[in-house]
Amino acid sequence: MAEFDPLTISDEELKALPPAERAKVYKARAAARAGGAAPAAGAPAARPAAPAAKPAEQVAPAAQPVSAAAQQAPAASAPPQQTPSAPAGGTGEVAAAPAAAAAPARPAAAPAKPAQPEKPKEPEKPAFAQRILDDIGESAFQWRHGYAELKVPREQLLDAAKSLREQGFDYLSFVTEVDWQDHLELVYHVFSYDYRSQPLGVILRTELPREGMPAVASLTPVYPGAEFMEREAFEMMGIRFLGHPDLRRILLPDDFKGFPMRRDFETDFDYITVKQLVRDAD
Amino acid sequence: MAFKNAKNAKNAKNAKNAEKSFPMSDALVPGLIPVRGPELGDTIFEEMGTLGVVDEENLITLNLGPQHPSTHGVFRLIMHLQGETVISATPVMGYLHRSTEKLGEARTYVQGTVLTDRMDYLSPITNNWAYALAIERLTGMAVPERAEFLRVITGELSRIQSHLVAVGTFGMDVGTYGTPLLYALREREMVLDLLALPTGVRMNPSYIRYGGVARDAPPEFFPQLERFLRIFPSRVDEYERILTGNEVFRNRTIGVGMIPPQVARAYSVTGPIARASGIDYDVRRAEPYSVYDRFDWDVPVRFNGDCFDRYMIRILEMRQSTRILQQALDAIPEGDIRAKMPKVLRPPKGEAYARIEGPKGEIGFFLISDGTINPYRYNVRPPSFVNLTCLSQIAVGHKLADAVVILGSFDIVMGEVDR
Repeated sequence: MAEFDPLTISDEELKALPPAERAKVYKARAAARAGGAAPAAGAPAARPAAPAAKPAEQVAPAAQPVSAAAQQAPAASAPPQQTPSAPAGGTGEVAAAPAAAAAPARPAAAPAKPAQPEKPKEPEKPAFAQRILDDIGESAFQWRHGYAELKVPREQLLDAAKSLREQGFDYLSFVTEVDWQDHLELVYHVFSYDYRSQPLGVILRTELPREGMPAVASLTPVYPGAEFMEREAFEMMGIRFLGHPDLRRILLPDDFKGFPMRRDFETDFDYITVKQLVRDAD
Repeated sequence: MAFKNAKNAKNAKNAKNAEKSFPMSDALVPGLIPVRGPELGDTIFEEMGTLGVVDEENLITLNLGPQHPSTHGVFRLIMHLQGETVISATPVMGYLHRSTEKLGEARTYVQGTVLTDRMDYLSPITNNWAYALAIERLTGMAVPERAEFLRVITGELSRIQSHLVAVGTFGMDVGTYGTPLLYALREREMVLDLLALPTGVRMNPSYIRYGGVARDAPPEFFPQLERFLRIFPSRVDEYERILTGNEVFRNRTIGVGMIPPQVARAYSVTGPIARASGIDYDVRRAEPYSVYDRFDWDVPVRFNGDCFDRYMIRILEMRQSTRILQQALDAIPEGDIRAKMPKVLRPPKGEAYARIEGPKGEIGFFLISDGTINPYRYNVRPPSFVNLTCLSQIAVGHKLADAVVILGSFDIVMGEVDR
């Protein structure tokens, strides 16, 4: 087999290669993408053994450290047990055993987090989290599956969101409402659209009382994309979002009674029209 | 409310009526629901252009849907029109609501996979994938490499399949009279037949389970996939010949329904819609999962944010998916397809959020485990649902016929919006 440079090879030549060789070219290209020009020198020479090993080492502190780290596993021709170095597997191995919740100091090798070769005992608190912790009393911080988790009192939820938004977290991914039987909880997953400069994800959470319809500030002034998700949380869990532009039911009929995602919700069979019709017919 | 113009008496009346008929308003303290929030929402609206003074007498209320072919399912859009211009558009949804999340709490983890199929029924495998990823994050399960490759292959095939339907039906919305749709469905048949080999069925496969995939691909799958990959790029050229250069198509789509990048960011828009607005955001790059970081492919980005760009992004993504498929086909290793796992899964107490890049945007699953066989909380982030949030802002100011085009370019699936 003639020697070739995986980064400059033409498409025709590439098609003529056997699949295994083609895969190496693709890997080298992916490594080059992750690390800029770094692997251009290393890849051709290292082709027979491990084309991605060298670039991966050089690249580790660069812009996309995760892909570089994932490159290391296949290149080192590890046994199949180790090979699934995908984020899910890597995260799980670290975070699973201690039930994840009780491991605040764990440096979970997260998909979005820079992967460190040697694991420090205490991952540093990111600056944005420290700022929110300083500004807002009674807030708590921990790592969870590689995301930075911030717990704030519900009065300060909007302030925390504003602070996050100002510090580059401009993408509110998801709003979850949870019924913990004795209290309710809201969980917001926030990321940044500029994932190259801010690869971290943030979980913002706040607790609410369960009695009646608890109120909390809507995040729509900061993240307008929360509008439908908050409407869903409102109808499913009965949480009032103050400042929401259009707080109505969204998925269920307008005359529906109760909040179905609460754990103690019981179906009102009188409401079900078919049953009503059957009973009327009898 | 989707409109801001307080001068509009009819709108104000409608809003008042909606509040009156709202069954829970007695539980609320009066005056606690204010009008549209300050700050960000308002400036965005002004950036979209002012509407001028609305003539109250000529205002027409029009219900688009729920049963209307251009709404892609049972979706209703209450529009106020002045002449043909849309003054406000309020989406109404929920006609296909099947209480998936509540059902998920009553099912075991493996049964929950089946529920995910019924959400985005045009690409069920990516839904399975996000759900499986959440469970794997919860339990710390490692997935064999062959399974990861099978996931990538079937997932990318699903993406192609979903984009084919999106492009075809979008042509219908623009007025192409069905030809591109039939062409696209012809290739979709090939994809479905291909997917039927490893999964066993054409729709609702529940193929990706936690810890791996349901079954291995039969040997005849790979030559057939190779054949498909040889044919498919020329078929994409064919759609481009029909649509991309078509003068009517371009006139109907270019400059229509522009979403500026700052609006897309504010409204949490993801997927092809965000990438058409110049946002280089793809979860496969932002938070690489599975083996995507081993392939050589590009994230297509366009910068006008109009309907044409959203169409083009889908065309380009189909080409990129073909690239990924070719590489995955070349590199797929032998080995197990499933991790060793207990018969009945009881994940440790905890919670996990996993997200992947579906064809329509970021699809995520948030699972809470209390240590039993049922998830304590089973929550979905449906991309179509979140992308719809900005629809009412975007459609305003356009003609009625353009509103249909905009809705078509959003590529919503009601099974996922309503769940």
